[in-house]
This record gives sequence, C-alpha cells and structure tokens, in this order.
Amino acid sequence: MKIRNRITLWVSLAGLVSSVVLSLIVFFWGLETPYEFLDQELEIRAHTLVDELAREQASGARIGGEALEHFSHLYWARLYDADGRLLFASRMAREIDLPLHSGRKGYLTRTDIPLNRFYSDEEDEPAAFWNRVFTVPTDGVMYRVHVARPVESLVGESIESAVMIGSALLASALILIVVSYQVAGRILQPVQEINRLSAEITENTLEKRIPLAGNRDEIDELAASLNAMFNRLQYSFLRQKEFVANASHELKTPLTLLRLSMEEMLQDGQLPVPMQERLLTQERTLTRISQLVKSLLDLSRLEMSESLERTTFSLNALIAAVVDEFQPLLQERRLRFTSRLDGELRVHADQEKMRRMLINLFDNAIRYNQPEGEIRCQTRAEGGQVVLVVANTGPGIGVADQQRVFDQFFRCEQSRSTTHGGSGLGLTIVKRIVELHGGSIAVESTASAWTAFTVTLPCGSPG
Amino acid sequence: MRVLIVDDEPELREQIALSLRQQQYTVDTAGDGALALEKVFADPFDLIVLDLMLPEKDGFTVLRELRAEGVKTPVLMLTAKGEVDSRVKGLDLGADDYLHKPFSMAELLARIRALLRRSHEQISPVLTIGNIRLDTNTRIVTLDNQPVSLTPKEFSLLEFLFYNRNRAISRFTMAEHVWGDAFDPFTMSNNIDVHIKNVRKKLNDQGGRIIVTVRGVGYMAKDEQA
Repeated sequence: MKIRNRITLWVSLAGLVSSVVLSLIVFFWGLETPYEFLDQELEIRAHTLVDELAREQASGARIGGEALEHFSHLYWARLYDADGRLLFASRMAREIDLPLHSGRKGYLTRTDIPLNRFYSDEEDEPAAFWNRVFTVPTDGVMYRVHVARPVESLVGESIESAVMIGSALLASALILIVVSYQVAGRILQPVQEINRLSAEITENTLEKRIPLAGNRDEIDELAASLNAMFNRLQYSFLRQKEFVANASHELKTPLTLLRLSMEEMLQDGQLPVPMQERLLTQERTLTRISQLVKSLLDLSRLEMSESLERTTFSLNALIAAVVDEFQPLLQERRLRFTSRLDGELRVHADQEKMRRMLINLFDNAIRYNQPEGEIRCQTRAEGGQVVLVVANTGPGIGVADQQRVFDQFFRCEQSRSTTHGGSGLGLTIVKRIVELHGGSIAVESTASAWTAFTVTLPCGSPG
Repeated sequence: MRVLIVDDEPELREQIALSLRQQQYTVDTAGDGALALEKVFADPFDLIVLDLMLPEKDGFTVLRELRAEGVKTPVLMLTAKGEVDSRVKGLDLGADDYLHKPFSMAELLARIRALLRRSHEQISPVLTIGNIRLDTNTRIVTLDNQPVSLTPKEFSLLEFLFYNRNRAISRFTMAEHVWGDAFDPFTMSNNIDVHIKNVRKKLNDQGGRIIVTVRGVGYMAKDEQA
C-alpha cells in the first residue's frame, strides 16, 4: 500500500476512534443529565409539600388546603405518614395511579395518557412519569413523599440524538479521510518530487539535482544525501567518459602510426620473403590489437550508456540485410543458412545496436562452426516479446562454460587452441546491448552438435 | 593538389605526408590548431586533413573558425571513434568526411581522392585502368565500353583498388573498407578472395593482370601507364 494511503488510513482510524469515544460519553451524559435536574426539582418540591402539610396539620386545618393544592397541581404527589397511611394526594395522583417503589433512585413509569393533558403546548405522545420517593422528617415526624412529574418520553429524543451523533461521526470521518489524504499528499509531495527527479536523471542529465527546500527537515536531508550521491556518480561517470575518450585517442593514434608504416613497408616488392612473412604476422597481430581496442572502447561506451535511440523497424529485414553481408563468407565456408522469420516483426529498438548484436551473433555462428555446417535463424513474436534464436552446428560449449561465454575475454578452451581470432568481447557486447533493451539472452549447447543463442526482447511494436 | 595535414603526433603526420607526396600531392603539415589556422589563412589549400585532438586549438575550434571565415576547403576529420560525438559534431560544423583511427593509408587516400573529386569538377569521376572504366558517380563499370554488372560489394572493392592503383592492399584493409566498422575484419577478410575471384571473372581478368595478386600481402590494381 502506498504511504499516502497508509497515512490516510491510520489518521482516519485514530480520528474516528477518538470521536466515537467522545460521542459515547456525550451521549450517555446527555441521557443522564435531564433526570438529575428533575431529581433536584422533585426533592425541593417534596420538601415544600411536606412543610405545607406540616403547617396544615399544626394549624389543625383540613388537609388538602388551597396551598397544598397549589404547590402540587403540576405534580403527581402522594404524602404518607410513617405508618403508610395516605395523608394527601394531588389532583393528578387522584386520577392516575403510579406504582410506588422505595429506593434511593428515581425511576420512570410509562403511561398511555397523552402528555398534552398536563402541558397544553406539548404533543399528544404518551407521557412518562419520573418518580422519586423521599422520607422527609419534619418536627420529629417522618413523612413519606412519593412525587412524580410527567415528562415526555426521552426514548425518541435519545434516538434522535443518536442519529445526530451518528451522522456527525460519518461526516467527520469523511472530512478526516479527505483532509488526511490531502495532508498526506502535501507531506509526501516533496518525496514524490524527489522520486520524479531521481528517475529523470540519466547519463545525459547527470548535472541535474534535486532542489532543496532549505528547511532542514527529514525530506530535505534525504534530498541532500541523494544529491551528494549524484555528485559522486557524476564525478565517476565523467572520469570514465574522460578515460574512454583519452584512451581512444592515446591508443588509436600510435596504432594508426604503426599500421601506416607497416603498410608502407609491405608496398616494397623487393623485401626478402622471410621479412615479408614476419611483417604479415605483425599485420595480423596489429589488426587484432586494433580490433580489441575498438571492442573494448565500444563496450565501455555501452556500459556507460543507459539510453537508446529507438526507432521502429522490421527486425527481419535487418536480419536479412546482415545475413546478406555474410553471404559470400557462408558460400566460401559451405555453410548452410536456413531461417524461419515470422512476418515483418516490427520492433522498437536502437537499430544500430541491433545491427551490431546480429553481426556479432552471426560472426560467432560462422567462426565456431564446422566445415559444411549449418546456421539456423529463427524469429517469432511471443506475447509482446520478440524472440530471436541463432543456432549453429559445431563443437558446442561445455556446460561449465555456458554461463561464462558472456564474460569479458572469456573463450572456451577448444576455441583458444585454434586460431579463431576474435576479441573475446563479442558476446559481452551482445549481452550488454540486449540488457540495454531490457531483454535477456540465454545459451544452449549440445556437445559436438548444436549451440543456440536465444535473445528475448520486450520491444515488440504493434502493427 | 595542396594538402595540409594537421596532427599533433609528428610521426603520424610525416607518415601521411610521405604517402601523399608519393601520390604527387603537395603536402604541408601543422602540429597544432593555431599553426594550422595561420597556414590556411596564409595560403589556400585544396584539402585539410584535420585531427580532432590538438594542442592550442582542437579540431572543432579550427573547423569552426575556418568556416566562420568563409574558408570552404574540404576538411577530412581524423577521430578516435567516441571522442565526444565527434562524428555528428564534426559534420555539423562543416567537416566533409571523417575517418576513425586507426585507419589504413589506402582508406585515407581513397577518401582524399573522393573529396577532391567532389570539390574539384576537373577531376574526373571516372577511374580508368586499361580497358576498364569505373564511374564513381553512376557506379557503372564498363569493360571495352560494355557494361559489367557488379554487386555493390564488388563495386566497392574494385573502386577501392582503383583509387589506390599500384598500391598493394591487404585483405584486412579491404575487408574494413567494404564492410565497415561493425564487422570483424578477421572474419570478413575470408570473403575477399571470393569477391576478387568473381570480379576478375566478370572483368575477364582471370589471369590477374589488372587485379594483381601480391603474394603474401593482398591485391593491387596495376596501372601500367601510371
């Protein structure tokens, strides 16, 4: 999962959990609070009623006087003496019966009496009564007061607030996700920028650097370290480039000189034969050195380069052109060449390098062939990839050597002993070209029968 | 024909000068870019052979200053392949041809003749030896005025020998010229004998009187009149 998504997920989850906890606290606190106020109200009312009752009793008046009625007319109230005899019932208590539960806590009794019977401005939902039972001592006499007040049922209210809280949670979750996604994006934006710039730096743009924000945060430090690495990379790259250019010039100039003077000597028809033969051996050696230097520098350049000059062309046409160049040689060696090429087979690749690859492969197939042997070439498209097989008859490559044929200067023992020429770099160059194209190369060989090189390139082009 | 050779390696410079003088060219030499420019502005040349890596002023600078001054003398660049995109840059700056080191004298002479021919109309594009005429423009070869059909490789080989008439050319050199850099001259030099055999047959020269086998060396286009 991308870091951006991960940050979003974690921040949202943490935010959601904390707001759920907060909501639950608020919700339950909200459920309890109204009753606490009611409890206080009922307690005060109970004391008022008992005081009034005591006064009525003391004055000897009839119990249930005007004052008592007045104080109790909004309440359901029953007053008992210590023995449990009913002393007074309010108007509501005379009409409605509510169960008496002794206990210290209040309790709710539901009825089906519409609430607007008590409060004219309320709706006709069924009323519930919040009951309290108190024991109140006055002037040494104990009274028991059961007092209650009609309240609207809080179930509806609770559901309502639960729905409110739920939707608020949903909304805050959405906001959290959106905001944290944006924030994560903002935080990670420099990282993405670094990523993009690093990917952009190739052999041709080595001087590019990641711009520093200068705020010395972790990301800035990362960018600075990367820049330091790019500095070292650029340095060694330039050094190598310099070396190749210098080596090119310094090696090739004396080689040219050597070659020209040797040619000049060979022009002399009066040379004694042994001298001439020695000169010819020298020319051979010189050509080998030239070839070696050329291949070595070619390989150095290939090792350094990362980019290709890709065009779209027909691989099979290129193969035909290269094979055409070798045709007289094939005739001379009496080698049979057969090919099975799959249509046009258009590829998107560096044509010059592909040509070089094919030349080296065919050169190899001819060089290490047997007299009157055979070379087979096959190409086919295979699931978006292009497969090229060049196979030749010949002594073959031992299993132990098969992995090493692509190594620099590696030559099989059999080929070392006979004078096959070659620089020992041909297949290394082929491998590098294939790798530059993102492909792979494999070798298969059967002793004294066949050797086959299979190149797989992911550069097929539609159409 | 006046040719200026600019190279910082004195022995190489002299080697090229020697060969060119043998071919009846008038040769002057310069060891660095500044001297080369001095000489070119003092006295007109027909061709400049210019090495890329030079002290004082490098080949590119020399070339740029020459062209900026309106000097149209053809320039043949000598480069060690890979010197900072030398090929493209050189041609962009107005070099007329380039040759990678190490090159053979035969290749250099052929290029020089071709360049001079291109810049001086008076040099005939037709090379003639005996009864064989080779037109380098139309790429047609005639034997006693009868056209001979040669493959492109055979033509290229014959043209190369004709440019270097009376010089013995090795098989490696011929292979390099005909097949170019990407091919291994070791492998391709095995082709040469087949090609020569075919060319001789087509030119009715099986005896090898015109395309002479130089024992131990290679082949030579022999021009008795030269």
